[in-house]
Amino acid sequence: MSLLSDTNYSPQRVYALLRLLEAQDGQLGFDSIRTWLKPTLRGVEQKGSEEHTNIRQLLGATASLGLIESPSQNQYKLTAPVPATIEGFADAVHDRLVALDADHADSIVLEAYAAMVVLTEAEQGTSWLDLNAKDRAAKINKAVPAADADEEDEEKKRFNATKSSPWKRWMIFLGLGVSMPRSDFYPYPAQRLEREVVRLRSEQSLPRALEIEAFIGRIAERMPYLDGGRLFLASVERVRLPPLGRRVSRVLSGTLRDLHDDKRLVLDAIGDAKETYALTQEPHPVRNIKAVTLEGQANNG
Amino acid sequence: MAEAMHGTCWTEDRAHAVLRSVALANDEAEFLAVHQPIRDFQVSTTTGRGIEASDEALLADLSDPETRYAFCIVEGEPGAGKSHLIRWLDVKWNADDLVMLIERADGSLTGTLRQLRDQLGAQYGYLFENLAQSVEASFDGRVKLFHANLAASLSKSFFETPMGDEDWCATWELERLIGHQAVQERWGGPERILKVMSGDGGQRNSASASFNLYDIADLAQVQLAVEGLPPKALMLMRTLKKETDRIAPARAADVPAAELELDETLEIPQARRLLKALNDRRNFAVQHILGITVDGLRDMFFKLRKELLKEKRRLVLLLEDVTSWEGIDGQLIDSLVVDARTRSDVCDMISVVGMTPLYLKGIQGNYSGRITHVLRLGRVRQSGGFQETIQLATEESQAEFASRYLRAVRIDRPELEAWHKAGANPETVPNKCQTCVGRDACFAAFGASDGIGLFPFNRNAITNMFEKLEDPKGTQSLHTPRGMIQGVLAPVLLYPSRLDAGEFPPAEIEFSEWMPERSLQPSGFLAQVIDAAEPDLGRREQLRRLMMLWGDRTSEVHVGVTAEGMRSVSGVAEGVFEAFRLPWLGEGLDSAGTPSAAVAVQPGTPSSDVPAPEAPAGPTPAAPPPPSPTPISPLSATTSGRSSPSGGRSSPTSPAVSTTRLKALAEQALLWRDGKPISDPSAWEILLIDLMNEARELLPEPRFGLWERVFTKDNVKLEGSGRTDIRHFVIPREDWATRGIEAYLTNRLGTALQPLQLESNRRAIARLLRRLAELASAQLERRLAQDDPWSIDGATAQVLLARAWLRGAIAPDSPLEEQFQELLSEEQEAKSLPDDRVESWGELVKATSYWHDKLRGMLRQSLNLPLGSGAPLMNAGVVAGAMKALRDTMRTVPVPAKPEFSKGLEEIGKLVELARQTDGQLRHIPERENKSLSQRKERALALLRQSSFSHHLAKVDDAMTRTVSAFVQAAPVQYQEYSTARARSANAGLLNEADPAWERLADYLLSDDVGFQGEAEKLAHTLGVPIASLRLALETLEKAELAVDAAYKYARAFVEGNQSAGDLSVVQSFGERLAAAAERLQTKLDEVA
Repeated sequence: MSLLSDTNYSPQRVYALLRLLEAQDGQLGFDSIRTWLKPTLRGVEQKGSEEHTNIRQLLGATASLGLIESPSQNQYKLTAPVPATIEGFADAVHDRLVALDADHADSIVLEAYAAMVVLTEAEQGTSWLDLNAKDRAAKINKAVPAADADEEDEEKKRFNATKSSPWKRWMIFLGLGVSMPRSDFYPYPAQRLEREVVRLRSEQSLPRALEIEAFIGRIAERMPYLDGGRLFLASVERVRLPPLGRRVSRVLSGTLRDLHDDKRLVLDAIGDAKETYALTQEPHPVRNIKAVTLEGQANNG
Repeated sequence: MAEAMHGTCWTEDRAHAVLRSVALANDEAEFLAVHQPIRDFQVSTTTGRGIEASDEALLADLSDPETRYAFCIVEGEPGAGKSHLIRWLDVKWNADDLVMLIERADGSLTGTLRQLRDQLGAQYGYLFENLAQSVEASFDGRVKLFHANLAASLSKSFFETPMGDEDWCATWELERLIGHQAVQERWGGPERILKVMSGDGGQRNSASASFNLYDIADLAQVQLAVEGLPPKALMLMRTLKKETDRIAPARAADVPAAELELDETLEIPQARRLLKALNDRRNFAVQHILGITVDGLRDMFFKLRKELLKEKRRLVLLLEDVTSWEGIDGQLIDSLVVDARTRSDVCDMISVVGMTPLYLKGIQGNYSGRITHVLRLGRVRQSGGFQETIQLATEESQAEFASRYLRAVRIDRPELEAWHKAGANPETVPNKCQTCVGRDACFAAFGASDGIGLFPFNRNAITNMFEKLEDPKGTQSLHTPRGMIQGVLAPVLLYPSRLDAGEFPPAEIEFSEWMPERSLQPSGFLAQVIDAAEPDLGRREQLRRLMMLWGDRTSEVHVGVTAEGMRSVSGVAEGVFEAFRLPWLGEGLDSAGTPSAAVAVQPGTPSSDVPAPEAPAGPTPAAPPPPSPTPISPLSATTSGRSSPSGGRSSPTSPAVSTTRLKALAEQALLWRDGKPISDPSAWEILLIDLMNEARELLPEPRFGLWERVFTKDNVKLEGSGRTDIRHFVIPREDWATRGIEAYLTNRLGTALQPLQLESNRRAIARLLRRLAELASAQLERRLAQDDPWSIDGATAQVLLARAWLRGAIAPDSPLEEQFQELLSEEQEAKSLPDDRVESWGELVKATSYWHDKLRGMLRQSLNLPLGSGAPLMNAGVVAGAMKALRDTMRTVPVPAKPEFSKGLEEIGKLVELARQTDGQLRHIPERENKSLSQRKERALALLRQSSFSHHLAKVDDAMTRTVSAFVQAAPVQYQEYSTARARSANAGLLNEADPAWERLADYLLSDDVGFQGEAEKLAHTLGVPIASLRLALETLEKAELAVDAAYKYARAFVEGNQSAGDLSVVQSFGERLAAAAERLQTKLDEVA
């Protein structure tokens, strides 16, 4: 039972289940859950099978997140307060995944994302995403820390094409990327980065602007799959990518540039080479960063 | 490069002198300096002598002293070089012949005749004197005369030599039709013809002064205003109207009328007939107002040729454009084809006449035997349309043509004159490039043609600008020498000061209406490259022009090396940037990678040629995989294995918008970026909805149902694409949107891209989707009044649940999940008899009667949590709390105080109203209904008088039976009503004491009042009351009361009314019977009461 071994569910379904349990005093039996989630409606044709695998998998994934437990057979109980909003739920899941130990079954979720960031760096772009699903998953699997024993069985690999479906749903839900038309999941952590910067500022007293090194360090703590983060470094080691040095990875470079262009934060470029980090080369006025001002002037609405 | 690039090497004055596009306008030295030998045209002769396709060979053949007669046609589209060739013949012709060059000049017939007079000179000027006695009338006056002449010429027997269509004209009474006052006033055809003949303000440009089908269509439009026409003429007008209506769409699409006339599949017989009749008479009508007699011009040429015969000279007539002779062109051509070999009284004559392909087609039938040479400067294109000018058919010939002008503008005037005086040898035209110190650098950056530098153009610029030229009116081809001069060379060469000022390429390039805006719109990526390299807006515009015109166009933005070994961006050499003082755009484009190289993924065992991760930073020994130079095409979705996380999206992989339309949208997107409007709104609507669905994927909640109501095809707009109001979701014309949409369209088209651009596009799409999702979320909040968040699903579920309770579909104390199932299910017959309940109960049910289906559908859609093709689950969690709250408190969730839900959101507006009504009424219903039921119960018990229902009714029946047998007329109505009610009660089982219906009613009537823990329980209790049985029993009891009461009153009245009338014995007998009956009745009634 893990987030990726159960495939037939979505983050939205998990949150729906949590809110249901919350509305029902925190506990429900399986039959009640089934009736709520899959009601038999008079006059409406029922789609799908009569089996309830999807509900079982939903319960499994939710339990894997540690959000419910089963005190007795077919009884399910909330283990933690339910976030008031679905965005809060995404934050909570992100926090939990970030905090997982490497030996937790779900640690693969963010490790796979870190692998994607590193592979995009190694391949100097995202055209490798256009591989077929199996090859793409195999590439990611090879870039994540290996299982204790090398697995030849495709199904037992830490990451494979089957697992990539629920994984992509989580990645999009967590604000780590988009589903690219005519391609596949595209790593683009702008939404999450913006959110984490806001949370960072609300949780800690920070100066308005952070030197780039400090900024990268803070972000690496909250988003360890990005530059300098532990998951990123683990994948770098696995892939044998040379250290970035004073460079910002391709994925983070693009994200920072977009947030700068959208006035969500400000990239300060003025400074000596020793003080700056170089962004990935591309046609953009900002090529180096000395500091990052954590607030912009954008109006989202 | 040993030398530095030079600066500006020509002057504005020289450019003006050289670039006079009218071949006959500039002086001979300039003319010869730019002359490009005309070759490779198509030539056919009927002289038996074949000639080489070159200007020199043509001259040799025509001017050969042995040539006694030649009628040479130079055919070409306007601007194709006919005039240039004819003038060149004039310059090169020998001095023995009398050579008369008649230019197009102002394009008017009178102007042409004036030239003829001037060319005759003093020696032969007298010949002209009797030719034309121009009528001294104003233009308006001449129009009227022309019109009147035209009408008169349509009458029968008008011409000495019949035209052949007189009968047809007479049948339809054309003379009266064309001569009608209203037609004269409202039909603009004749005026148009005269305007063209008058040179059209110098803009005639070989336009034909003939009536065309659009003139006929205009004439047919006059039909309604014409009164008093003979029936036949009216019939013709109606027919013309019908016929010309068929060409209206073509006219709206700016199809030239001449093209329609050539379209033989177009069935417009009467219109064609009239057109021919008018054009056949046009010359007569025109000559009449010019004062030229039918044979005037012919006579003049005869006299001239007779004079020249005496001098043993040939007459060489070089006519630049025959259309400028229209009106007397028939006479003219008749004069040209008089062959001196067939008569001895005139001199030999060589004529060379320029005409358009269309004109030639018109005369070929009549004069084919007389034409000796036909030169075709153009050739028919496979794609149709205008002919292609052979002289400029290849990129090489275009560069060569331009280079001669470039050479000429660099020559100083004295130097040019010296060359001209020295014989104007085409092989020795002065070329400044030969002595220029910056030549190598210049040639390396800009290129050269036959030793002439193309500066400030390069080959791309010449070809791109030339090929992009487009006449917005569609009336002429611009891919001609004239197009090259006016559309390519002039906008650049006339502004040398701009080069000095660092403003090259000059903005004037874009001022020409011949340069379509769309051809100067860079792709989003190129715009990004330019914006990144140059902050100044004006210089960005220069870079845009440079890249779009000097660039190679054939590939995407990339760094390369020119044949001369110079770095280039998309075909623009670095030296061009330097010469124009513009920033080099290749920065960061030459490698798709980061400054430090990455390594290939080497999973598994470490590889010896890969540095260890802890290796110090520095040169990386392992070679990175170079970015693929091969353009990458985005994969099709079938290979990407893409799945839909939230389902329900439209698939952009099977586009509803065709590829052709997508390409057009991609062009429009670039124009939209620059503030221009878009077209093809229906294609944009589909595309934008697809795009919004992509963006929706990024929302944590898909908002099914609501999304579709807010983001409809009509509501999603691009900024500036029409009127918008609060309902509309307007995508702003901001960089993230313009760049993203362009990238999205490129992606949809599957265009192969260089890796760098692919990366840039993908991120632009990601940014677009992120920003759209943010804006969409804000739009949903605005439109759904979520400033103070309220649960639409919760309110919907509560309204439906309240309705389900009140209709008795489910009890409020049932398990909530069952209630959830019930409120989402199709309704069945109401079980609670809402009409028999307290007023507010029925009101609330009625209030939702029309809306419940819509609200239920909306809720089902909204709660849907689909996943691929699997069974959908319901987002019950979002309503479970609201349902529980309603059950516990009988109150609904808060709804907006003053909602304004515009079009498309009527259900939401109604939901707010219903939620508010539910909130106001529901909580009072259980108590009120419970009280009402108690009262009804008490009344029933009182009427039963401690009997069972059946027992009580048996007594009533007995009393009524007896009464009726005594008094047939006693309470017949009331008795009937009672009987009916009784029958219904019997049918309902209430008179059978063993029947469950009676048992349930009896249980309820005999039960004690109970306390309730809450309103839900109370409501559940009221729903449990056998309301139908109670109502029926109570109704029957009330009817029984009424019947008995009425019978009693009847009997009593009868007794009182019959006490003193009639026979005493009868009275006595009746009184005894009555007394007995009344006694019995009284006993029974007492029992019942």
